[in-house]
Amino acid sequence: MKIFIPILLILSLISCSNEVVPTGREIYLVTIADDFYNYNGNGRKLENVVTDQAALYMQIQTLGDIHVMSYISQNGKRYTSSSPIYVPVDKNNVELDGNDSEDFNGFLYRPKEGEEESAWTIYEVMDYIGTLVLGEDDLFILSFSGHGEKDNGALMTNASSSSPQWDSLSPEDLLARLETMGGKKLLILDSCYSGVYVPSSPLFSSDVFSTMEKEDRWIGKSYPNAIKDALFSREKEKYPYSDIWILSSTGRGQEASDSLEGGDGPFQLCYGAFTYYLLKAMGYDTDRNEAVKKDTQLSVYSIYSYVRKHFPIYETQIQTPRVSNGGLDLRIR
Amino acid sequence: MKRFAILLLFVLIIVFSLHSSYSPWVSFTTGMDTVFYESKAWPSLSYGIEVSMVSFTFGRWTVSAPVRLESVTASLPKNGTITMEHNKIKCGLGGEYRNRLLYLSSFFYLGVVDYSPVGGVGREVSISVTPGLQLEEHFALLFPLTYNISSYYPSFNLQVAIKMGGKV
Repeated sequence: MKIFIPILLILSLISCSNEVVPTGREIYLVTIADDFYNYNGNGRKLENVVTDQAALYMQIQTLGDIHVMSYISQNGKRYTSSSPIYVPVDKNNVELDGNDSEDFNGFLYRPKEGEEESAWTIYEVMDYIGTLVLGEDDLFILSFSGHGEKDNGALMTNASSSSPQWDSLSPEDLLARLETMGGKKLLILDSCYSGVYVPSSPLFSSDVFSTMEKEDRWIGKSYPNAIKDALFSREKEKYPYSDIWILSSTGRGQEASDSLEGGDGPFQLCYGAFTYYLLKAMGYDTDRNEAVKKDTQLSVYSIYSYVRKHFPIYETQIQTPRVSNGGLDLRIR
Repeated sequence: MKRFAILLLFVLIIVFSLHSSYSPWVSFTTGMDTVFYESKAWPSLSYGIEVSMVSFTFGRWTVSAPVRLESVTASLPKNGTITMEHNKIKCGLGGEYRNRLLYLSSFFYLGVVDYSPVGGVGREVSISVTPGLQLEEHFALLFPLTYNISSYYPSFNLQVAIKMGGKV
């Protein structure tokens, strides 16, 4: 057995870099938080989306120098920032002295002095993404907290600060845009029906968790069918995405919770149900609402594993976080 | 046509049984598995067991239909990516040639590759060529070389196996 270790090492040296995380890797982060303030009966205002994206931004910053563009829609105002500042606030949106104040009710984006609203739309976000040029080893992270359209999971954002209408970005359009990018792409979606982004085929588990299936995987009635389909399907199944990894807050046909009292900490209600555990998986201190720089290994699958392990079982039956990686894991740290 | 094929198979099994010796065997393997994706390679370790209860020997030749269970570890990292651990279960069909010292076999496998715990399954087709040394009558040291084509990624195995059973 020991003889294979040097063989493995030699083999790994023959081909390109065997670094865990490539040196010189550039990280690009785009965060989108839309609280759907101007809902006017078309949806409902979301309370924690800005907090979710603020915390994710702060935690991802601990990875090193990152290129950031944040799109925020909060309380009817829309801002775009490449260096966002988020402040802790209480339930009356009054700024607090510290993140761990017992009155903490979330983060709000604080516009810079003289900063005007950008009136961004989801289409401008896509245009910005289209301008990014990534190298093979670079990492692009797109993180969205907001509403997802029923059944098709399209990302919904208010069309403008004054309009009750909304724009939708379909999964097909979003994934097509990501496919044109170089580098490696991570899509983090905390929105309803986001499970639709995970390909549905025997190769992947994207079905809804039910009380009949107590396991994390397809077991029972689904698994034998999946094996049968895999063996006898005439269509050649392949992972449809090139270098795209997806973490979704729900399975197909499920809604995501804007908050969840899982008994896990004093500020759990201030975060989205999925993003709370996602942040903890990444090392964020949810008891103090602070990003923490960690040296431990972190990959897309380890995040998913952590979320599934700690997500309350009763909530998992309603909202089942999913991962899509085609059998190839991505090291983030 | 299907009924004819099944009937032919039964006839062959009966003929084999009457004119051959029954020679079940078991094999334990370990070695290196290398997954290929977009001109890169991810090396990892594999280990498994192969059992053939359907095995008939005619002189120096043996025809077998083994079942192979294999587990592949997560790979070494490559540009920040790692192939995940996965399991395989495959059914094979093939033949072996042995004399007092040398062993050579070739098998075709069809089975399922399970990328647990992501939960997905895919089809895998494999072909292996195995040279080896027949150390004793029922004990052989083998060096299987296997190429796998799966719904996920193609891979190549270079292994060492200990085989017990069979008949010279």
